[in-house]
Amino acid sequence: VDPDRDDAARLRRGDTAGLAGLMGRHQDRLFRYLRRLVGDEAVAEDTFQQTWVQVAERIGRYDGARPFGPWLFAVARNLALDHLRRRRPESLDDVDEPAAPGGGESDPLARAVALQQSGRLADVVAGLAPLDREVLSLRFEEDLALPQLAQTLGVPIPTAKARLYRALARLRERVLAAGPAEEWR
Amino acid sequence: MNGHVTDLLALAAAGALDQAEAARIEAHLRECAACAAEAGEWRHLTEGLRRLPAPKPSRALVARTVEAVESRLAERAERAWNRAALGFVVAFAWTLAVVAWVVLDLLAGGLRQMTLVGRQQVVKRRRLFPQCVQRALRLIHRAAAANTKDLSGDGQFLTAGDGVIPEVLTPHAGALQSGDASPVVEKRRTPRAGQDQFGRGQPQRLRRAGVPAQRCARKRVAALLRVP
Repeated sequence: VDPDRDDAARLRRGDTAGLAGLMGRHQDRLFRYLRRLVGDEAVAEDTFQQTWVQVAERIGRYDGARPFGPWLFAVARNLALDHLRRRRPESLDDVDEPAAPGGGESDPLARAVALQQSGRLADVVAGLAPLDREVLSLRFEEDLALPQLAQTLGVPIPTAKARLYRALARLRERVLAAGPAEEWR
Repeated sequence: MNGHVTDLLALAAAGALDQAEAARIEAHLRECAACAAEAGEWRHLTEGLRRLPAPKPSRALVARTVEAVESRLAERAERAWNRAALGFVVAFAWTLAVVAWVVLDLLAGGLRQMTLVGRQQVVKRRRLFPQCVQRALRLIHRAAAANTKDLSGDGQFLTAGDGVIPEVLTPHAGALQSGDASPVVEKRRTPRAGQDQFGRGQPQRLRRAGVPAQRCARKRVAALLRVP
């Protein structure tokens, strides 16, 4: 028995208990995904709220025979990309200028300390393009396999593979610009 | 870097290779120290990605979200109810309009029909009644004149009680019944061929049917006196 399907059916009948069940199972990963994709905490919260409102409004369109997660992420993704396009009309694939190495070349000790701080990698990831952040989050945080990753992105598997490779390459480029790879573990 | 697999090392660390590619990478890494070192860097990087701090939605955000969804659901339910109510009202109004139209049409048509028929009847009566009376009186006078000349004991028609002459004409008919001469009988005379006792021509269709001329005259009087 798929609890998502039951809760979706309850929500379709207007029972908010179904919403509570769906949110309990998906809210953490959804918020994490949105946080990575839009980059901004406040925007992620706003999009998170809009996503669940849209889920409640469009639950009638959800096919109960399919898993709920990809459908939920598709709704969230559309909302997030709409927001990003309004905020940044240029391509979502654009990359910001790489951040300057922490501490600067003139201070190797300070730089090493900065590189070892937890969360430093998150900052570098935050500097990537939204679509790069998205594919990395889906693969490494949501642990989606390549077919599910492609389905969530709405692209063929080879395209998803290429996006994943490109995001990793850009991330590594930025990491190396900041310090040796060993320090990023 | 001929023979190296650097392009696949990132995907290998991400676990995004199929079995054939993964086997190829594994075989190469056993022989190539440079690629093995680079693969190690990729693994470090991807492990770091898996350990990124995971932001979670705050309780306040979850509460706000639930509240927003419930509010939206309530609005949707209210809109649905309003739509249903509006639809019912519109359907009811349409039904009422159609029924009212049919009923009014029937009533108006009936009244119109009744008015028309009544008017036609009035016109017909106004046109026919004087003629009926005049002709009946003429017949009665003629019968009375005949009665003064010739009486017969087997009276056949033009009496006050045989139904041919309605009650409105009874006084006139009664005047015909003088003394013992009851019933009043018209001057008995043998009608000519094709004529009744009043000297009128017998309708051709009745003549063909062999109806006696006297009966034709009787029918004619009855028809004239019949109120439409």
